Amino acid sequence: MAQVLLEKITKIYPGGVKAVDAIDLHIADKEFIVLVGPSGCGKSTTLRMVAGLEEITDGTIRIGDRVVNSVPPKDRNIAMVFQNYALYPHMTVYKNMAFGLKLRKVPKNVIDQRVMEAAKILAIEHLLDRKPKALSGGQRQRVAVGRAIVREPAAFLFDEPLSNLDAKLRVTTRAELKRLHHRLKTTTIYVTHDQEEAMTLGDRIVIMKDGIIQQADTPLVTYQKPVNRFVAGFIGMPPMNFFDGLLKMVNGAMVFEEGKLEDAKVVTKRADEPQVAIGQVTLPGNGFTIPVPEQLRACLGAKVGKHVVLGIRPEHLSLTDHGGESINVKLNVVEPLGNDMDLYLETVLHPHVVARVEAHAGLEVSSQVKMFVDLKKIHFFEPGETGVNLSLVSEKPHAAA
Amino acid sequence: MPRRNALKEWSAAAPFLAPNFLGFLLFTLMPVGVSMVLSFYQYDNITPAKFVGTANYHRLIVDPKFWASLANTLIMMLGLPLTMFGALLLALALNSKVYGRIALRTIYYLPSISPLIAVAVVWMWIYNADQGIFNSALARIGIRGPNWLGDISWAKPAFIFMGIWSGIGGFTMLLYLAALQDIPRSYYEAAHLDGAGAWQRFWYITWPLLGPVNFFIIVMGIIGGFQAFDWQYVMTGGGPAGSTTTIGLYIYNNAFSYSKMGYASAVAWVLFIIIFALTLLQWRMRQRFGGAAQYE
Amino acid sequence: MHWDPNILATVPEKIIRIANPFTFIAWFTIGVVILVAWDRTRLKILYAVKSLWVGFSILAMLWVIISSMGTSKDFVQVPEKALMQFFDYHNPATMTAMAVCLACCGGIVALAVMLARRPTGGEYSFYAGQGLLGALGLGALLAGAHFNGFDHWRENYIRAWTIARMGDYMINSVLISVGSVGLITLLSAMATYALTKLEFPGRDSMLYLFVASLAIPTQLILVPLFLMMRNWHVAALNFSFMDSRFGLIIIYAALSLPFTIFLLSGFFRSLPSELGEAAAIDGCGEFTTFSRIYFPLAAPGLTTAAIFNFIGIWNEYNFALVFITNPDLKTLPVGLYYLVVTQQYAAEWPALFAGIVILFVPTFLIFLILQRQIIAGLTLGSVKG
Repeated sequence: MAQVLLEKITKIYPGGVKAVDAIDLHIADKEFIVLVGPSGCGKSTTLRMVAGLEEITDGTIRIGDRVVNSVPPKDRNIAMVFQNYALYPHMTVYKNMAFGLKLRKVPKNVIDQRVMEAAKILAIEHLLDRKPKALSGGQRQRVAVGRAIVREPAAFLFDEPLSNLDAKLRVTTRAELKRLHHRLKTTTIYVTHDQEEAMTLGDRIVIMKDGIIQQADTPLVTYQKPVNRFVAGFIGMPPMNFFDGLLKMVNGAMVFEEGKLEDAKVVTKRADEPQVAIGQVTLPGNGFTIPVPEQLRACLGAKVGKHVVLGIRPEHLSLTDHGGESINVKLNVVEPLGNDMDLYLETVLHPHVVARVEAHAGLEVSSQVKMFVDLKKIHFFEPGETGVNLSLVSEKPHAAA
Repeated sequence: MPRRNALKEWSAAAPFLAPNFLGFLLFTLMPVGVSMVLSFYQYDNITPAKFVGTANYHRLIVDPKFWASLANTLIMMLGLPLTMFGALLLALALNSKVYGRIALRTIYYLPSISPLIAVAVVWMWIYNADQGIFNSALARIGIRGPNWLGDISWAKPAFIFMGIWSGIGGFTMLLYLAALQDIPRSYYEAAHLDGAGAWQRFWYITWPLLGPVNFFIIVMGIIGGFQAFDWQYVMTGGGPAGSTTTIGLYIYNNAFSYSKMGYASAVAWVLFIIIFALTLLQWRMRQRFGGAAQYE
Repeated sequence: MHWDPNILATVPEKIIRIANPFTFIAWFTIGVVILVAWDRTRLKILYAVKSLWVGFSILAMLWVIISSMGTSKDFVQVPEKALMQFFDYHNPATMTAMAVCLACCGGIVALAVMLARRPTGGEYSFYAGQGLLGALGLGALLAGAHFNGFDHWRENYIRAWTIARMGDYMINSVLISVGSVGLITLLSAMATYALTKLEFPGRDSMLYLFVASLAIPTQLILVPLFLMMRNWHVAALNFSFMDSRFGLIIIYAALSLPFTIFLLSGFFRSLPSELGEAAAIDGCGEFTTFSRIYFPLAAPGLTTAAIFNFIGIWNEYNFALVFITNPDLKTLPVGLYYLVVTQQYAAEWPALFAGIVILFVPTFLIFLILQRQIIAGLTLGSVKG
């Protein structure tokens, strides 16, 4: 059992590609941490550097109190589960699990005892004499986990271990992995590209993009308080809807007006739009306008007259009025999901808006509907792919702990 | 830092490569070097070697026997299209669900696993002027067959025919078979649904997809053709009147029969350059084809 | 087994003629082609191609075997005699032979069609049936050969084995082939592992160097190698590469390495590198990863490479001719080559054909037994790599 510390870890591949860019991460003992992000974000490279399978270009990795930068993988006291499981095809399940212990010259009876114990935990006792070829995907996955746990390592490393399973098995195996962690309490680093897997498994999740950690926090915090637009869009399913637009003061109240900023023009004649002061910027087109809620006004004060991005999660749009503002949209597609349903909507300026609402009969496709926005839960971001979440600015800046 | 890593990586790989590289150095690289040097010398195996500069190469240009052997070598490659046709036909037959596919496999590959010497002897008997199978059969229909291997005009066709037989059941057919098995079934199913008949399926799907392997076979066939040596050595010794002397045989004879080691090396270098150029061409084209890399 | 010649006199002429091995083979082949072409599947042409090829190959093989059992006189006369019978449409015996052979083929095809309709095990029963009929046919053929006086196989083979020293050459060939194939397999597996699974600077250039060397013609190597080896002599060990089985083993091994590495590299690349990574985490160093993970996993590819090399080296005579001059150390192909050279004047064809059979049987058996591995290994290595 041990903590894992990454300090300013950098990986530059020959040819100059920077896969991981000076990341800091402190993984506490017994913690289950999930590295998540789109492909190419550096999460697997980070894991492989912890495992010792990739050379570290710069920085320090500690496992326990030991700097392991130049320690070969076998001496790092870690175990890893690979995406394709990497079970030795020519060995039986038992031999696969016993191999690491045998190489470490663990006495035979101890090997036997540990393999049996692990097999019992994973319910694969009846498979011990089989070869990997004769196993189903789920069984192979268990054997791969078994091979890791018999070693009783300081840390488990998982590299997308569920992505080769079908959807149903993935969900049940996910729950089993979580139960296993509760039981063994071994420090675990888990890599996945699936945000749902990350949310359900991790004590903390680390969202990465382009070799940089965007946010490292508990699943709930990353959902409720995403530090930037990328995290907000990555966490949550269906993804958050983003609307480009302008913050402005109308009759002393702060409002957000949807529209394309490149089309903005300065108001010169009062007659055009009587409610807007001369000299203010206004947007053509028929974008919707919603008021900025009270609690956000303080932190958005400096952004009036500027381009911002409004973020609304699909689940915070509803058909019933809970006392919020509403926007008019056109309903394109209805996807019933059972208890809920997804509505694919279109505003005048934004053709792809999604709302998740309670299942509801009698909606007519291609009709105009009114969607009510839960104003307490909206976010404003700086423009750009990783625009900072302006709603959090007044609070303490989020440290990537 | 990279330097230290390189050293570490080298020391890990070296034990695996050292014996191989030593063997490669001693038995391939060094002979190539020695051959290069030798091609500038006159050496008859007994008297000390004498440096003659590029004289061997000059001589080669005006040596009619060299040009004749080059021509012989090229002429004896003429069976290649027929070999390819036969091999493709056989590969198509083997690729379809024909009964006894596995059981008779050994028979298909007979030419490629038969010892060269055995093949040569059997064909010598087939071509035998008086009692050979060919001439006996021809005699039945009233034709007096030629002395195949002893006749200047028939010796080369005899080798071409033999080459066709040997090529059909050999590696050529295996390459076609591998390429055919690589074509996804779904292409044919789609074509079938589109209403393509068996011939159209072959012409619009199979044939275009065999492009890279066809090219590979042609180039490899030419490379192999340039190295032709063994049959001619055993069956005719290059005769009659040098009409079946290939470049390979010309080199061998110069070195071991006439003891002209230097001249033999010069000719060998010309052969090497031809083959190397063809190999390079093949590599370039394969990179262009991209997908053909699998037939390496 | 020696037959009283009088027995022959009691056998009706018809049976002797039917059993003439050459007529039998010829009609059988034609029968197979006709019947298969008649099959109602749409693959007629392909069937015909396949059947022609198989028929021709079997014909050639059986012809060699039967010829090795006759006398020099038979050797000269039989094709002529057989052809005469073959074209003799008025002879009832020949027509009977044709009918028997056609019936035999019909049986095979009927069996094939019947059994192939069965969902399971059909093919296997078909092969069993085919094998049985084939065995019966072969028995009939050999009996026929005997009746027709092809009963000199013992003399021929004994002469090839002892007087032409094929027995001694066989020992040399086995030692040299097995030794060099073993050496190649181990060394090339090691090299390919390093060249595909380890990272080090210059790795790709090294692989390219090996592959590029495949373009070097044998003739270029042979002359300088001969001159080099002639002068190398390790006095302390009394070892020279000339006239030495061990020397030839090393030469063969070294010259086969680039090709083998080339063949294996595709195969090794198809083995997932995660296995090596898992092994590294499990506690393996480079050598244990090779010996306990990749070497056993590469077994199919190594088998293929080993068979290719074995066939190549078993049949090789060019280098053996140059590097072995001591008659006690000659290999089978070299022995056969000298037999060819001398036989051209002595007209001892049957003994020569017996020598061919002796040379051919081992490769044939190996291919027959291991063909599945050869094909599997080849497709795994070169196609999917």
